[in-house]
Amino acid sequence: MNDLDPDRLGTALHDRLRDERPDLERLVADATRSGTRIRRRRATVAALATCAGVAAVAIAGSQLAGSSGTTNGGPGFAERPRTAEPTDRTFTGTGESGSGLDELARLASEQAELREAARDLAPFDVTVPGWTCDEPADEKFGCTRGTESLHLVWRPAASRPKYLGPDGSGPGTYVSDVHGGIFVTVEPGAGTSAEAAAEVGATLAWTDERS
Amino acid sequence: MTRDEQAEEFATFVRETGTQLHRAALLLTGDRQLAEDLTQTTYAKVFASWRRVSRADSPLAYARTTLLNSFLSHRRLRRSSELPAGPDLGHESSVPADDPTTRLDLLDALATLPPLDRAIVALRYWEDRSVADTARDLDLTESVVRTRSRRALQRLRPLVAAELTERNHP
Repeated sequence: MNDLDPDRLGTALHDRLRDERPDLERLVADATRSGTRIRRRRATVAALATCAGVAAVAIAGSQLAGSSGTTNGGPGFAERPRTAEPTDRTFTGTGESGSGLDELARLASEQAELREAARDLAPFDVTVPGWTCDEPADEKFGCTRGTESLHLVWRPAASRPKYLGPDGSGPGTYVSDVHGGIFVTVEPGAGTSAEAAAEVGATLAWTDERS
Repeated sequence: MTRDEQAEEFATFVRETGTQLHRAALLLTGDRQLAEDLTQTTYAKVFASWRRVSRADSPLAYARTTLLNSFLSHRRLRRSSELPAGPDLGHESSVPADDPTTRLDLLDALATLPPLDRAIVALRYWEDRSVADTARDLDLTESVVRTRSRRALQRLRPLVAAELTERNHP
């Protein structure tokens, strides 16, 4: 054959993959579990976005309330006859400004709780000085230190033997012990040593063991 | 529809389409473990939006697009965090594509292509999609798909021609 016939390539690809069959029941279980986590995270993000929106409105409202005194006296604006304003209205305005600050404090507290909830999506913590880790996405997240990078993934315990085998994981990948039906792999990125992966892997702390 | 019914409907969908998507993932990644991860990530995303996806004309087309996007965005992410290791920039593998004596497994040969070319080969020659459909799936122009297809075939030719010849004429 002097040329690569596209039809023949298609046939060859189908032949090559004919015997490849995934474990469909495991795929269903893993995808459902990961998909449920994505749904939960979306709900958390939506709640955070709502809080941020409400906070922005509250800040804008309080700024408008706080600036009303100066705009009345500013150039180009006709000064409103203060004497015509009922006295109690002035006090009501001050009260609204105060409750706006209270509302902001409450929202800030709620956001902190929601951020904590988002962190809880990961079943473990990594706290190694010098490394900065992203928020979890799906069942994985990355950590960086300068130009070094690590890729952390939590996986069902059933697949751990594969990662321990010679062809199971990339060179230098740290494989944790099993905890609660899952384990963690820490894969070093380009320019990152196996020692760095092992160092970070050794500090994994399961969140359900946090005091 | 209750959550249990949704989950059961999704499970049926995975059982019907999982093999096809897993094989496509294997073509793209060239590695069983990565293919499993990619397939699982794809179905997780599909499950997260299942109420909407299940009402689509073709949930499988949605899943296939999700698979391709997940693969290409993952490659972009990895590439942005990787450091150049040598003069072999732009090649996914250091296999010499112009050495006619090199004989590779089809998956290894595909792994020598850039990710986008691999996606085009998978769609055009494995999924048997038209140039227009492939261009739409990957958000490319038809001329880009044609050019990259031709280039991919040219690069694959010396790597797999011998194997295809032997398979067909043992």
